[in-house]
Amino acid sequence: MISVSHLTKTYGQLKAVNDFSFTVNPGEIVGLIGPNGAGKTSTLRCIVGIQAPSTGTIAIGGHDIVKEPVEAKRQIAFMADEPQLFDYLTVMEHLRLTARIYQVRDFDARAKALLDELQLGGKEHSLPAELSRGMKQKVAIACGLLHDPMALLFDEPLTGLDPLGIRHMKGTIVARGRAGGAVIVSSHLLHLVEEICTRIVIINRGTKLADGTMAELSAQAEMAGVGSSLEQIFLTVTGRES
Amino acid sequence: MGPLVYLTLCSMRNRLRVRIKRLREPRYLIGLVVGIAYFYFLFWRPRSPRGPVGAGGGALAFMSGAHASVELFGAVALFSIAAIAWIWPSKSRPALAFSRADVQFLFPAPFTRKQLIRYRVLRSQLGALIGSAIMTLFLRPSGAASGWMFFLGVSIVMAVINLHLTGVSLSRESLGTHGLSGLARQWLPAAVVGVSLIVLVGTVGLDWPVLALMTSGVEVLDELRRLFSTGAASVVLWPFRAISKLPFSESPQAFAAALPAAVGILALNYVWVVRSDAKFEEASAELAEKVAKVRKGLQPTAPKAASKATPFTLALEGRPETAILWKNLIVVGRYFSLKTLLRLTPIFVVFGFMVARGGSRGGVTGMVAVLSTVVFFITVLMGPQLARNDLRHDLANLAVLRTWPVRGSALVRGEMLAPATILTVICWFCAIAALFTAPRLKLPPSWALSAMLLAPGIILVQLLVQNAIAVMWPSWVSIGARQARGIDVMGQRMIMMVGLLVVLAVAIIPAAIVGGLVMMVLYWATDSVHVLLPAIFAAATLFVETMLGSLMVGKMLDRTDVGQIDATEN
Repeated sequence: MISVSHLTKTYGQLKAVNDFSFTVNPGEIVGLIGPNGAGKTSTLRCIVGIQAPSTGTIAIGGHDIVKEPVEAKRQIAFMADEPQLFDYLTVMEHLRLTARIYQVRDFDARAKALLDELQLGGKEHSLPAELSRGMKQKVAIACGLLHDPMALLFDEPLTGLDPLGIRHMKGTIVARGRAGGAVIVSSHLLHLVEEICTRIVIINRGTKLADGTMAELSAQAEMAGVGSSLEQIFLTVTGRES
Repeated sequence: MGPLVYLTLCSMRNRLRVRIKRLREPRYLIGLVVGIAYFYFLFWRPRSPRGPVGAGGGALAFMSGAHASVELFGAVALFSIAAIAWIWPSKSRPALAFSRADVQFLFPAPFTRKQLIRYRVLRSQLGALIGSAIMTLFLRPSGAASGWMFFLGVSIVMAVINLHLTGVSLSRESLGTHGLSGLARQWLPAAVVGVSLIVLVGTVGLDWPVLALMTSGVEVLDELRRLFSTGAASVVLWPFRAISKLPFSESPQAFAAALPAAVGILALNYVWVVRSDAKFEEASAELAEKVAKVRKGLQPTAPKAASKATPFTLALEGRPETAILWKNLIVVGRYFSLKTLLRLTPIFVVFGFMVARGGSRGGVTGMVAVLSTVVFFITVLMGPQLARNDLRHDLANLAVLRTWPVRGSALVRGEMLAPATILTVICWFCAIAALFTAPRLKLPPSWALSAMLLAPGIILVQLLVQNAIAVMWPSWVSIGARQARGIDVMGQRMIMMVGLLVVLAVAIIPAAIVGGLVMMVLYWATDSVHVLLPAIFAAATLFVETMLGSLMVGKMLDRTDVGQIDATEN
């Protein structure tokens, strides 16, 4: 579903992502983890077409994000860590705009279901300035899920959410994976990744260091004589274990 | 040196350093050179032997011999500002413009409330002084003495306005916190303003039969001056005239005579503000947060708006351009309000005075006709630069726009539609108003219709160029809500303006050729000049050019890297 092949992204002299390849199949939830500046956000932004790759290819459902951007983007939803909403559109107007952009058919039913799922009932006519950060995050997620995308990318999805919101968010991500979506979750919260992801990719300085299920990574770690928790694996692989 | 003075001086010094440091970037350096050259040619170029260009030939020249009228209409403009502030106050609580750092450092510090208010009020006067200096340079009074008088006068006027608006805000909060007695007193100033308004409007209304019969703008002005200089209207306007006469004093003696009353009003306002017991801290902290968000490019400068009806119901199927138009029209609808329009009243008062001084014929209807025509041309030629509710504003959200399954060309067209629609409506309204109020100008309807047809095309071409510049050279335009300042930035804008005019001239050539050819054919066939059909062809050509241009700009937008867009220009 999501295929990243030899992706390189440079900013001037800085190589943020270097020859990075991985795939996410339908039903998989892949955790993308790495230290600050590892290249996670650059990778995500290239996958969703916000930034163009310097070299390499990215395909979503067989459509190249550079050559067929419109077809590829129809299948994607990107939930950024900082929710970006239009200041003068209400919650419902955000959903209606998204529905028009993505040509969503059964809008009313879907919008209602999403508002209920994300506990946004009663906030339909609120402007972003009247919402808490967590609520804004939920609106961004509702917009992302409205067109039932097959490829979902979450960048730090739990930021700003309360405990109940965290539980719902985790449920939402897992449900989308189980429904056949190809999901990427980028987060520093290793316990979240360990809990909900079916596969984990570790990246540092733009280069892929590890790729596998938790069991595979644990087995490799035990062979190497380090602890089997994701935190231990992460610190060892990224060379941060002092 | 007190800590607050130290803070002020250090901030000024470091702001200057930042401005100097950014000159390392060529765009600012080039802008500074152009800006300085502009000021040199405007103020210090060698004087023409034929006339007083560079000294005394400035925009203030239109006021020569009309000091009494200028003073009076300045007073009406000031009255309008005060009246709107009292009758229609801001819904947000009072807030002095403290920065986020001010709130974090100074509010918990051992300063009295009065010290904080005094610090902020006096600091805001620095901005008023700079604004007055710029206004003096632009309007170019005729001579050093009148220059200084104008500068000091405008400084005092701006300081009074600044203090009074702060005072109104603080006063309403204070009155509102004093229970029922406070609530009762809260309406007293509004009632005073209401009575004053009734006096002024009633004075004009009673004299309307005379005003309606007048045949020139100058006559109307003279009559209004007579009305407002006598009776109850003169009493209502006295404090405003006392301030407004200062910048336009004809001699140092007149300035000295007017100074005590103006300074007295300034002092009264200052004491009123500093003695206020309003709880401004919380609102100031909120305001500081909002300003900080605006500077990060996260939120526009407009106040929080209540959700209102949308301009039209967005169908769930159709072209993405319509969806973007819908979104941008919602933004405009929630940004502007009747209150926003009322705040422009002082500008209309001054503008109306200038038009009337131009000696338009036809009395009040003649003034409306000339004003409509002027606004029409200003809207067509300047509107696309001012109406920035397109990619120039939305590029700050490029990361979101780029995730949409929409081609760049459709995005560009959709973004241009909202400002184009609004400007076109204004133009058409003005053209119709001019057509119906200017029978003496003998304007043939076909000419007005042709102007109405051509206006959208010319507006669209300009919007396309503005958006193309934003996409191609985003660092040269202000992206998002924030506007950078300085002589270097002014120079940049002048370069942009010249470039825009050149591109506009080139873009209009094909339309002019097509329209000219059609006109020639019609003339050859009928032996008379027709303008409507040529205008239709010219407008169609402009439209086709815009569509082709949007494809090119769209391709560039598709290739634009989000990292190039800097919404936090300083």
